[in-house]
Amino acid sequence: MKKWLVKLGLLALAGALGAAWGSFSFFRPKPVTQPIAFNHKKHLAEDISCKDCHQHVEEGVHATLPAVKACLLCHEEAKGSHPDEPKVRDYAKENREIPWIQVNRMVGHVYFSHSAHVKYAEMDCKECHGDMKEKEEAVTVSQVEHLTMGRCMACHEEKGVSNDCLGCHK
Amino acid sequence: MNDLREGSSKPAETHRRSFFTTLAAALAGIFLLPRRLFSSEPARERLRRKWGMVIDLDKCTGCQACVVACRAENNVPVAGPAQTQNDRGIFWMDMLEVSEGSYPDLQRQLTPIPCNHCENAPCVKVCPVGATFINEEGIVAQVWARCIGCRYCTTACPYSRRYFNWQAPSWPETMKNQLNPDVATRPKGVVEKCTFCHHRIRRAREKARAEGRELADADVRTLPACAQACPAEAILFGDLGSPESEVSRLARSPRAMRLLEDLGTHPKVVYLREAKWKE
Ligand code: HEC
Ligand code: HEC
Ligand code: HEC
Ligand code: HEC
Ligand code: HEC
Repeated sequence: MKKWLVKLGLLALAGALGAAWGSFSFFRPKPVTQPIAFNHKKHLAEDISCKDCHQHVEEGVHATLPAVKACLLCHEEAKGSHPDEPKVRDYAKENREIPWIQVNRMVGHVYFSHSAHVKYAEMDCKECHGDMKEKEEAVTVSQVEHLTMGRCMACHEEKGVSNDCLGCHK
Repeated sequence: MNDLREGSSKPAETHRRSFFTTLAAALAGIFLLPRRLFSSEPARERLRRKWGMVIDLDKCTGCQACVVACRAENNVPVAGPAQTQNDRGIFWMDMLEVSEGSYPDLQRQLTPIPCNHCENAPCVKVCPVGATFINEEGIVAQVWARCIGCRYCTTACPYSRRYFNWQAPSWPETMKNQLNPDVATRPKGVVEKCTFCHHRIRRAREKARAEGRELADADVRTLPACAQACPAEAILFGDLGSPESEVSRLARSPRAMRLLEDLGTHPKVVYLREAKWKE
């Protein structure tokens, strides 16, 4: 009588642990596959700044991802020998945009503005996105998971910026 | 006075005169100072902006453009006829219909009523989780992510301008691509309300800042979607905290009144109307 109760208890415990583990890996962001293996490190070695490709990062809310037109400034003819490099011209020839997947995204009810932080607070992209100058693969998982409400508010508190709920929530 | 006279080399007359002039100056100063200085609010709050709205009922034609504009701007879900009949429709801006007499001697008035953004808001007091609050600029706001759907606030609001999402939000197929990205959509089970188009205020402020100037009265005059849509310019928006603003001026007019004033809610939506109908 007692024994099967213990066994049942153990089974339930194992099940709960399994479910916890499962949901843990389930809720972790899955890496996406970008259409082209874009290499930030190689490009930033050229004489080019973030703003040339992420055009609205200083005056806009969204940094925005570059249009294929911006790539053609240099990729009109072949550069290097990477198998993905000719794809840039293929998209351009078909008159299509490269279907980049935006991975850094706040939850729907949060308002975040690049201009407030990049232009007015003069923050380096590195503080939130990590060092892109060293990034050799395309960005496939969110880099802003660490920016929880607590983190955002702690910095605002420290810098004397308003922590009005409506400031960050919409 | 005795001590004063003894300790001084000046004649008493001078002393008395200077005492009275100082007293007179002090009294005059007290009367000349703005009355707001004597409020019990801490200094920081005194300088605050207080967004408010003036609705001129003598100009309003009851066309309901404000109601439609508000829905479109704020992604207000469409409840459908059955739910709306059950009083479960959502209208951040709604028309209160008052009629008097009967046909053919019938008079009706439609009064547009948004959230009154009370300074002494009953809904804020009853929220057990702090999801609804008065923001730095006087907007009665709601972070729906924090809302637990208890609906105390919908009950507490004397103007019935808080709405519960009884069902998952839905829109007709043709409207789905028209949702406003500046306003988050709300899920089933939370309460929602008018925000005085806070996202538009934010945008106007950012624009003014980029142009290197302060937000001016003209920037916000018809800023909320309802005010922008009003063909009669019956709805005006502005800063009630600054006595020179257009809305403050109108709020001091003898035509001004506020809804259910006697409840002590201190609404920041002011109505203008000449007189009652049959007076
Ligand atoms: C300032 C000029 C410039 C611009 C603009 C530019 N590229 Fe490049 N790109 C280069 C050069 C130079 C190389 C070759 C680097 C090498 O192989 O050392 C390169 C290499 C590449 C490669 C091969 C990567 C690798 O690992 O070798 C890809 C893919 C690529 N670019 C995609 C793009 C896309 C997509 C855009 C537009 C968003 C773009 N580039 C814009 C200069 C540019
Ligand atoms: C204070 C933190 C912070 C800083 C500093 C920052 N970002 Fe971001 N970035 C974010 C967040 C948060 C998002 C997600 C935004 C969203 O949900 O729209 C994001 C998104 C992006 C995106 C995705 C596309 C888009 O349109 O928003 C790009 C590209 C980007 N950032 C580039 C940059 C660049 C370039 C810089 C430096 C000039 C920079 N960021 C500085 C926090 C930051
Ligand atoms: C030559 C153009 C180019 C330049 C210069 C460039 N980027 Fe990018 N960036 C891209 C492209 C294309 C993508 C989309 C592919 C990807 O996600 O890797 C991207 C993606 C990103 C993302 C991820 C966006 C998201 O959420 O999906 C961040 C963050 C970012 N860049 C930051 C930077 C920063 C910081 C700099 C400057 C130090 C910079 N980039 C310079 C072209 C550029
Ligand atoms: C490391 C510091 C830091 C972090 C982290 C940070 N911020 Fe900020 N933020 C600032 C500063 C500084 C300003 C003020 C810039 C200015 O207006 O001069 C600001 C301004 C803002 C503003 C504009 C406020 C206004 O009234 O103009 C918003 C909105 C905002 N931040 C949202 C966020 C969100 C959301 C996050 C988290 C995802 C975040 N911030 C993380 C430093 C930070
Ligand atoms: C500086 C920016 C900032 C301010 C100020 C802020 N929040 Fe947030 N809030 C965030 C961000 C970013 C997230 C999403 C990340 C997270 O969940 O931590 C968030 C998430 C939340 C969530 C969780 C939603 C969920 O899906 O779990 C709630 C609830 C919330 N905020 C309520 C509030 C309330 C109430 C206030 C005012 C007291 C407030 N927030 C002020 C940035 C902010």
